[in-house]
Amino acid sequence: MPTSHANGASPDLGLLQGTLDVMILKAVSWGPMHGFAVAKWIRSTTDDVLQIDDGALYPALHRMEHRGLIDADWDLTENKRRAKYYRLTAKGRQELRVRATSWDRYASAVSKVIHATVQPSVS
Amino acid sequence: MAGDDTRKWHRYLTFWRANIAADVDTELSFHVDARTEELCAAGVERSAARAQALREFGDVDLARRTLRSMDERHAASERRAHFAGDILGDIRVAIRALRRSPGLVAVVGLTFALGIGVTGAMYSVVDNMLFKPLPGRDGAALVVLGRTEEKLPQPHELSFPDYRDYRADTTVFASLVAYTSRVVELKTDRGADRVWIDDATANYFAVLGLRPMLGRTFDPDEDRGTLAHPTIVLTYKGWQAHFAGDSGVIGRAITINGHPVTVIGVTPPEFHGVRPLVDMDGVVPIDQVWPAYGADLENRASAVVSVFGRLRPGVSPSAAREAVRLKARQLERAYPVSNRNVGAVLLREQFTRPSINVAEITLGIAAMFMALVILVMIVACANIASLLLARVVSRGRDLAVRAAIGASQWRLVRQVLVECTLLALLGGIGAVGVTFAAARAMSSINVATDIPIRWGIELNGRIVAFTILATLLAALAAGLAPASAARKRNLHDVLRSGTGNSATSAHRRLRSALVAGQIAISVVVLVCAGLFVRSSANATRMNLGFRTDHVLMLSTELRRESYDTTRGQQFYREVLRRSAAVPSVQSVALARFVPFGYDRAMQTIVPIAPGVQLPVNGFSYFYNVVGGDYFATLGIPLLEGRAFTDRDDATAPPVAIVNDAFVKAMWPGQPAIGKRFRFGGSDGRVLEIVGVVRGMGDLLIGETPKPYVFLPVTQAYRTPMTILVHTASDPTSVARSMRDVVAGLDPTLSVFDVRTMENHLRNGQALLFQRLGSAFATAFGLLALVLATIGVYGVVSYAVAQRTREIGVRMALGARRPAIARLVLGQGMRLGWIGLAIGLVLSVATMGVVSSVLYGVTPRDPLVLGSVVGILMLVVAIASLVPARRAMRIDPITSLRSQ
Repeated sequence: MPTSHANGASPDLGLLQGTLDVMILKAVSWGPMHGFAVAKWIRSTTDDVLQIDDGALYPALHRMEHRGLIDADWDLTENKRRAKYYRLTAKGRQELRVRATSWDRYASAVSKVIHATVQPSVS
Repeated sequence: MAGDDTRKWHRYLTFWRANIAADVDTELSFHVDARTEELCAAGVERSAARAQALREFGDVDLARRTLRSMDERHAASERRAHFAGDILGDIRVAIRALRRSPGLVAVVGLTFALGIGVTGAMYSVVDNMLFKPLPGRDGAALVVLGRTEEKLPQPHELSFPDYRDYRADTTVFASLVAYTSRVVELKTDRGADRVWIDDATANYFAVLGLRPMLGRTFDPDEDRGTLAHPTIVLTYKGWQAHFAGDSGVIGRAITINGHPVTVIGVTPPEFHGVRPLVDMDGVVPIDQVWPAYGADLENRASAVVSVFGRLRPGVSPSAAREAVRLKARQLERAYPVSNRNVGAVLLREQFTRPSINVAEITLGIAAMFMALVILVMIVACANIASLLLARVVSRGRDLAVRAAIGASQWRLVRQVLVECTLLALLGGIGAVGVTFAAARAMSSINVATDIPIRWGIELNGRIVAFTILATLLAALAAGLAPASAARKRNLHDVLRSGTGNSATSAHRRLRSALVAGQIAISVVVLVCAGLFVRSSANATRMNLGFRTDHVLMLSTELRRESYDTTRGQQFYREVLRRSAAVPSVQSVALARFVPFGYDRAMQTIVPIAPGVQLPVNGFSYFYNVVGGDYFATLGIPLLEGRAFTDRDDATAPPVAIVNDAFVKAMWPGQPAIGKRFRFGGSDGRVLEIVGVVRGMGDLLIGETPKPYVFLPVTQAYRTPMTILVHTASDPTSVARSMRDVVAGLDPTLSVFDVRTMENHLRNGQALLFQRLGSAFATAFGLLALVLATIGVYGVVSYAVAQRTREIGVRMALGARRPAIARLVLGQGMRLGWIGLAIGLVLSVATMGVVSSVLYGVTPRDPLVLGSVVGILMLVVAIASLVPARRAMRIDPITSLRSQ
């Protein structure tokens, strides 16, 4: 089984946060989802490549709730347990679109650099 | 422990909103549990699964803390935004509602304006008297040094040599100023005036930290020598009054008491001298302007200078007091005659107003009037509360509907408070006008004939702050009862009842209690006013031990360059001779000091026992220098011996007359005639007692007479002198002739302070507090009465409006109109009696506090209590009569149909 990061503050938190936010938005875009389900979905979707630090996941969820990107409601799970379900708001959907576009451009730009075949010309 | 407290706090908060802490806990534990279940399902043993789930999560505690604080911050900012929006809404609703009832707005606004305005005016007087620092640099840090004596416990002025020693020796003072005030004749091109000036040491302005507006203030050695630097710094007021604000005044030569003096500077407008109630015209360096003080400034027994200064930085008040006490002891050892039992006190300048002698009384009186004002304020608030309560009750249906559609109780309460605050703000604006009107009225009170009084009422930061605070407190106080009524309204009752104004009996009782309470307070204020008026009248009539009617007084000062002692004595003899010839004049006298006047002097008395030379042992007693038939003119009975005669002149043995208190203090039980004492310390003149007179009042009305010594002017020349004449007819009728007598002898002399003894006593300091007391208390009493009338009228007419239907039914069933009127009137009168009873009990209980300043009247004075009862019931009857007439005119058919 994969293990999570034990430390709450990883050095590349800035990058991680932005990435985490967009992944959360994508996760809840499928429908109301509690925090555990969000973590599980991201893990399984990335084939366990991306380990979500639970200590960072919840602050991100709450922050996005306060910003109005997602909405929260208490509901019961299939096992009749109370859980907090997050849902994408209209504002959140808009945000997801923007973030996804910029992520694509970023990723392809980095990819172009990494796989470049043209040698820089030395003057 | 802190954690426990937090949890309790959160429990409390959950009444209003979601429990953040519990939600965070639930969310996180769900995550860990779900992961544990998942691992179990995959075959991991339960405890291992839980351990792994926790490990995977990381620091659960940190996450919990982070989430809680994030959510709480967010919730708080949400609430703030929400609240601000709500308040704006409330204000809009309140303005709409108030616009619909302009009558209520007018009455409530006026009541607030009166209540707050009068409070503000009174506060501004107290502020000027007690709190406002002197202008200049850091006036609040100034301290005053006073002298105490065994025989005269109130602190008073210092002798100049003592002042010099304190200034030179003590390490606690950074600086000390000595000054004394006097009246002089100031003559410019525009004419002559009698004005008040301060004679001060040259560091006066430097210590105050006051820069001149024009010219300069004193140079450091401008007070050296005698009559060497005749200069004056005018106050702004003096500059305006005598030079009409002429900016070329610097360097101008004027005369003071006929001697040339140069104007060197003008102070800024905010400076009026250092005595809070007196408007000075200028300040001169001490002993530099004619007449010089001469020996008075070298005499340790002559307490003539007021002293103020600043402590060295870092010296604590208690250390300073201790040092001053030690210094006083040291001076006592060095000068056992003049400084016997002489101590010193150090007080903050603000606690020595208006003068160090009466500062204690001032504080008490100021406190009493502030208390009175606060009572009036409470009455005003009770009134407003009553009116608004009626409004809340009559709007019951409106409030019930709002509650039914989901407005919270808090919301309804807030609505009422917002309305009340708006009304109070409106009143507060009106209050500024009332403050100034009241202040002007107070300034016009004629206090004394001779002193330029300045009430100093002006808008400053403290007064504005006070008014704002009073407004908010008033709004809260007046809004609380109606607001709680709004909260408690029973929804079902209101919606069921057709009228929508189902005043429950509890509300009716509350409103009645408010009105009865304000009647009670009005009673207290009115009783206080009545007592002061009676006391003031009594004080005027009180036997002071001397004749107060049919006496005219006028004063004149003989300039020293044209009158030496011989010429002066000649002048006095002629004045006495010619005055006696004026028709209606019964007897004539001269006196250096008049009883209850503003100046008096003390001297050290050393008794000489026959045969035996006693150790040095002096007493400081008041004395007076008199001429003519002083005791006959003032009707002071001679108990033993003889009065002064013309034969007691410079060639005859020096004589004195003393009062019975003097004999009692010096030689109790022994015959006094023939006893001798030294006047002016152990090397003073020896005087022989030739007569004993009965003691009389001199400083405070009702005081026990103090030991007193009289000297004949024929043996102790003094100037200025006051001429006193006892007349058969109205004393003012001889004023013209008396002026002519002086002018006939020397037309260049100015005659001042022409007044009857009655006037002198009424306007002088003797009755000042009495007169101010009755004026203020009467004004407040009337104000409280007006407010109580509004209150009774409001409650009774509201009750009539509410009971219209009931009255209609009664009439339909045959009740006669007078019976209806009696019913309504009875309600008002019942409130009146209850309030009156409570008020009388309260007055008798509390008026003991003021009884110490009352003369010849007790707090249970039947005349005062009886009048208050009469006036109050009359006013209550009138206030209820108007609604009673309205009730009588109710048409039963209309009233029944309207419901």
